[in-house]
Amino acid sequence: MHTDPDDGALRTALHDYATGGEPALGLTSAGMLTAGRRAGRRRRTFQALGVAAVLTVAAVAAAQLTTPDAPPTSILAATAAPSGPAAAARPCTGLTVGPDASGEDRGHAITCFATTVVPGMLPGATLTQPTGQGAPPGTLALHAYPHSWGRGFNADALVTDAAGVGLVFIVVRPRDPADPPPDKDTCVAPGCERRTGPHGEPAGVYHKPEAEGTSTGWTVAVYSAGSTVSVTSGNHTPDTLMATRPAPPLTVEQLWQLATDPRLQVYG
Amino acid sequence: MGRANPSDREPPARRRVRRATTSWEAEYSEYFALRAVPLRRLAYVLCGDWHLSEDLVQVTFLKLYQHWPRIRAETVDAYSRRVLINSYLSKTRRLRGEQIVAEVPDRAAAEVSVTEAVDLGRAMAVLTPKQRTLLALRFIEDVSVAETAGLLGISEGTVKSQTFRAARTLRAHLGVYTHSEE
Repeated sequence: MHTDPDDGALRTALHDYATGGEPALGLTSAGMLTAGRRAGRRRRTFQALGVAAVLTVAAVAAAQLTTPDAPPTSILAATAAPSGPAAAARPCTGLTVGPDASGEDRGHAITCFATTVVPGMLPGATLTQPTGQGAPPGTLALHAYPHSWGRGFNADALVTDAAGVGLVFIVVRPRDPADPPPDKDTCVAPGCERRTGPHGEPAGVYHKPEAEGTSTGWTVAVYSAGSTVSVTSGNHTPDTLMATRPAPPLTVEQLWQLATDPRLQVYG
Repeated sequence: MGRANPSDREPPARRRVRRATTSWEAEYSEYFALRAVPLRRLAYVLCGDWHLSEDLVQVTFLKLYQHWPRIRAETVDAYSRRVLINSYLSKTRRLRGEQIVAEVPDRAAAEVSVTEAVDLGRAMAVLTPKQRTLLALRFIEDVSVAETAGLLGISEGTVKSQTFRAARTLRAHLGVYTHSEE
């Protein structure tokens, strides 16, 4: 160890040097607290701005990745469903469908309703347009398209989530005397249940009996003055009668909520 | 407060106040009152400039404020010294090529003549920044060899040998200056 007998003298000299001409301290604890708080606010502001910038960039990137560039051109193609009315080509706000509405307006009203309400009932699910159901090429899931053999519209979705794959489809058509609501004479098959809608309109719930290994499903049909609305959910795909998930993606009560909603009664 | 290591120099009344303190900002303020002046002296021995010393202390206490809730009481002195020394060494690297010279004190203390202070300042300016740091830590702050080694990231043997050389250089130059002015 290096020691020096003059260390004590050096220590004293250095101490005198450091205290000899010492001016008053210009800093105060209050000033340092203020400066520290200001620096902390500035740091947090920059951090927040940084986080916001990162989130903005991520959101823009995600939007670019998830927004389809163009609808599919094949009827067999499947397209991710939009998650809200903004996805519809026309705005959905302030939408009213009167007795003189065009077919296009009625279809648009169904699309707005379906794309707004149904995704909220299927959190985390991927919705695609099922193939082979008559939808024109490029139709997005839950977007209404004219019924292939008469007046009215369909809006379909193939639902894929952790439970498997299933179906949801909505049919809205003008009330047809040839298609009466179920009554005591016709609603005799197992799984048929007669109900009354919120405004006294007749309604029926049809439960497809479940055989072992085969698919099942429910349909709720509501017969208002001018419209027949039926909403179906099944635990299969259009291509098979075998179950592709344990239960249909929507419950009977969810189907009831959809079918009785006046926004689907586009024919009055 | 339970922060300052120099509790040996701290009166019992202050320790009681520290224990009773609940707000960390109050602890911080007490630590500032206790350590701002000694840290400025340390900084002055390092750089020989009172204004720069005050800047270094300000930087140190701003960093302390930023990290205060996470700094353990037993390490706060080492942390503050490390911040101050790193700030000083960083500044000297930025000022490479410029010589940091000792400033003539504004006024002399009763027991130290202006000539002695100028001489020591000039002699300190001859030392390298790391040599000044060693002398300041060992003779101004009374930091142990082991802690100095930890602060500077060198071995204890290096601390001893380099301190010895720095002291020898300082004495030699102090002697030259004293001799030349006699």
